Amino acid sequence: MYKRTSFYKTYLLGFLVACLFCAQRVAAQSDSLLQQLISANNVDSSLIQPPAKMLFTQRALWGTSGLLKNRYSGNDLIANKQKDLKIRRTMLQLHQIGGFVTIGGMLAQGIIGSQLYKGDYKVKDLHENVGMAVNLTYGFTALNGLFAPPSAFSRDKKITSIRLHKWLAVLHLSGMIATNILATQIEHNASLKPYHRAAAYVSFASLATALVVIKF
Amino acid sequence: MSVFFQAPTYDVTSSSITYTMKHKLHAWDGTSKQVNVASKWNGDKLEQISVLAKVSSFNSGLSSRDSHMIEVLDALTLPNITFSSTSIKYSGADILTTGKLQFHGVTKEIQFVAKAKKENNQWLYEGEFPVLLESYNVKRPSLLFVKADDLIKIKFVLVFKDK
Repeated sequence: MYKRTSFYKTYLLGFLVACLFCAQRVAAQSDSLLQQLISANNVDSSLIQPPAKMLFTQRALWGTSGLLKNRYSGNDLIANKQKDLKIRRTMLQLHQIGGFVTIGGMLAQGIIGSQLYKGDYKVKDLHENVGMAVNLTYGFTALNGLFAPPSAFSRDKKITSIRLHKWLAVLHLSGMIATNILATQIEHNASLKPYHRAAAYVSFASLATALVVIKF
Repeated sequence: MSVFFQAPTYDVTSSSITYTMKHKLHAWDGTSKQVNVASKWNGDKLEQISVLAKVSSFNSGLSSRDSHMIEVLDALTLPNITFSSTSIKYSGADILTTGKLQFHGVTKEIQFVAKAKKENNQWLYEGEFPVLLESYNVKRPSLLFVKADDLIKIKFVLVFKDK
């Protein structure tokens, strides 16, 4: 009886060892397959270099010959790129906040401006002050968008939401410049008021559309 | 053993992996067509498989979004997403696959059912499985200060063409 129990114990132990050996062998083979792949793909050098295409404003700062070309003393290219991407994220978040604040300011300015247009001159100073604030937030937003470090890629070939966002930026920037120039001329030439208002509406509409089309 | 595990003689360059991600405002897909595959076969049956795709190879059609993914997935230091099977069990056309998914530097065991079919001298292995971003320590990307959904769907089509 004792001998039979001992035989079964030995048999069971042998079976377990065999199972463990097989499992380890399968795992080792699986790991070795993966290692074949990893050894050939360990570094993604395509991400380290700046993209071939970027806005001229970005190139002026972050390009290989840009003003900030010597911004990092260390030679760790990966760490440097990570810092750039972190700055980019912060600037784009500020760009989003600035965009919302500017839209809010423009809405308020639209209401105040229409009162002024109807002849309520008590709000003239308020209109000018809000106009200044909108210019400041707009400028802040534009700077954070135009001068953010470039994205890791520039491979879009089709019309994308970002491309539409940039085209609309040309429109609202032109509208903002026109609105401001016309504002300085109205005191001497009141007939320019409708044009000033139209330019402001174009700026608002194109900025609002630019905000809607954007996707992260 | 070398007879049992034949060296792979397949062209896998038509394979692809696609993720689907959702946000309150929209949903989008990103596809990688640069899928690296190493496999071991027992006749017509897959015995083991390892798959590697670079984070940077996923293209969602929007560079800035893909760049954002590079940031949240820390792809500069963790460039690869890998899967390595530990068990493959056939049940008709269904293949119950268990293995280790390494994503954002975190390795977890996952299990999914893949389908296999042979078409024009090529084997197609298709399947999908869910991934919870936060369970892999991924900080979810956000748009207009609203975070994308935690759950993403990974769909794969592995094509093994006779060389």
